[in-house]
Amino acid sequence: MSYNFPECEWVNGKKLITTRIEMPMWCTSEILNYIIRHPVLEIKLRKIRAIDKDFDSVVESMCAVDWTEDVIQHIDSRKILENVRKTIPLREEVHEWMRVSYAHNVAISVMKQNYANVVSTRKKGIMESEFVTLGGIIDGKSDDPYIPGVQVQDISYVSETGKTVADNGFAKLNTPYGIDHVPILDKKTIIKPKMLAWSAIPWVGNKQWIGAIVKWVKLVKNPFELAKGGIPNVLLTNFSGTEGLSSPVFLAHVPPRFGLRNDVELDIASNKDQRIEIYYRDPRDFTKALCKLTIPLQGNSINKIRYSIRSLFGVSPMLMHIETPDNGLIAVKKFNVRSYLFPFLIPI
Amino acid sequence: MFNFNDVEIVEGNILVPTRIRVSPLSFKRIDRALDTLDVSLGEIKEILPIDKIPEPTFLKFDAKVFIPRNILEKARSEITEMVSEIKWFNPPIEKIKEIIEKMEPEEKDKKLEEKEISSWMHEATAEFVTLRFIQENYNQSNNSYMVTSVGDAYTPGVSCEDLSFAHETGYTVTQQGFANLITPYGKIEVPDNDGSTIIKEKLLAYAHIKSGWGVQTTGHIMKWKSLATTLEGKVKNLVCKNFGGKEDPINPQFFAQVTKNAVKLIKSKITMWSSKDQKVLIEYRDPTNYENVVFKDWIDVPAGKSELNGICGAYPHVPPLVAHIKPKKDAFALQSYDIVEVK
Repeated sequence: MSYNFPECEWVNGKKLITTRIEMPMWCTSEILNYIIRHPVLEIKLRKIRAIDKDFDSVVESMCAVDWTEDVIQHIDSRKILENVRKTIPLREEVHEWMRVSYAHNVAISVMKQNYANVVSTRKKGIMESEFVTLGGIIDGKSDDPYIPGVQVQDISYVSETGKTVADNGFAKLNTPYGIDHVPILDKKTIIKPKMLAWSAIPWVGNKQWIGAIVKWVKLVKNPFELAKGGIPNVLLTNFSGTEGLSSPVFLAHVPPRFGLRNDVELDIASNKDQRIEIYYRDPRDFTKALCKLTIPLQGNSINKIRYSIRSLFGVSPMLMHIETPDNGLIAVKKFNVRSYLFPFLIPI
Repeated sequence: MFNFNDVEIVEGNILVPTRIRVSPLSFKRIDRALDTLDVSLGEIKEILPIDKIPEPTFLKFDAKVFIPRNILEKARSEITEMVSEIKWFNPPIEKIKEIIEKMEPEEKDKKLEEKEISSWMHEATAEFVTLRFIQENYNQSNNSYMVTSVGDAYTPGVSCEDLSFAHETGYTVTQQGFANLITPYGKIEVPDNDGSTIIKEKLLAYAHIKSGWGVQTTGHIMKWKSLATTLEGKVKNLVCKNFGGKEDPINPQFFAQVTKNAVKLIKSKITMWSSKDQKVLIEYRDPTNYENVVFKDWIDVPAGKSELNGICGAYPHVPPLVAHIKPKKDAFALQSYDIVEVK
């Protein structure tokens, strides 16, 4: 197995845990360099078909986390918060921000678990099949960045009071690449040359504030088709429990063989009508976007999306970055890529 | 190459294992090599007594990064006093907690709905500062990576990659005498006011829990993701600290002794610092299953800086080994662990 980056690297004198993509055998560094040097990609949406499916039923079929038993498990922390407010009363030691943060942590855990739990079968012989772990690794946390502080792997918030953060209008996020500013009551997708993360600040108080960090360590790659659940994003609610900030989904687009055209099959369940944006990025430098596609999704349905990516120099493995608008939740149920040497589209 | 895949399935659960980068040459015929392994540790040599080196100054501590800015500004004089006296390596967790508590006291007079700060946060912040210090120093070696997490294990919860404390109140933890840590290998009981070293086939971690007679509990998890190895230079800056509790819980340290070439004999040299005269456990473990101990010994480490030489031999070659170090009483730091291949 070869990856786009080593597991850890020194950047600016700090140790960086990279976000890794497993590269296919055919894609040597020379081939990748050649393809990426000619990034003339053409992306074309071919077909979308929506099949009615209640989004909550998709979430219910996701695998559950076992560190919490007394609250409902969801990727929408608004729903968890409703339940948390009933089961965990306010006390001398339990404040409101902690209940909100707890709801976030439950949602992040469900997202983590379902991102890791992608297993597919591969035919070994006529009768045998082998289980292959395609699972990715995500780490994430929500807590108060002032005291006790929030750190996820190599990313942490600068420990400042809520008042300072509110006066500045942003919080400082410390990454091996330096300091990033995250606007308060908002979110930011952190895309660095070798690292992918997401941070959100859903609430700011006088002393305390809530800061969440999610970091992708290893990306899930195609092909997978999940009968139950899906690879979800997460929604972190604000204090009122009405609005929420949605995280992106990162996947690895890995063509099984060299081709001038890739046909992509993507099944996405959506909680509401929304327009998602899919960015394709260079696997050697995530900051370089290669092409973009905007797709309208129908709510409470599974959207079967088919599109093609074409390049006369070949289509390389890429990072697939799906960005959803606020309050939007998605779960990727199927992701398959087929490679063709014939570059022209055949109408379907 | 690595000894394990980056994601593995154990007992039907997904595990992100603790991995070691090994050279393919030294990993061949490892069973035979482990069977014939012979380790011999020499005499401890005192280099500097504790009065000459009261603090391990070789360690990295950046107060501006680790301590909340507001508290650092308010308590600058007290912290500066501590920094000059004890260089921040050895302040007991209680002392750090005291400063944080003084600068950011619990809001007792406020209404329940308006309260933001409560007592568990002081304890958790003190542990957070200490853990970041240990983590930052561990990550100084090549390929090494440790991840940590700290907070209130009840609400909002503490989890670190695939390890999480169960959602239990402080009352429950106190009553049952332990907290449950959920791992891919199942539930592990972490004794209350104490720590537990988790050594499973493919996982190395440490968890600590402290509950008072309240709802909240302060817990922390340390997970070794990628062990510091001797493959590209020496292993350095491994810190063990006493986190306070019934049995003086001290975190262990893990690293890997890995050779570049297939050699039959290696010489090792350990330089260490200890705050007290104490016994330190040294174990070597099988890199294909961390639960198998292949060598175990206690060494008497004097307070101050000291050095220990060892020899390791095996046929057909010295296998990669996972070293597990655990002091018995108090603060301890391994400054360096270096090997020389004898050809």
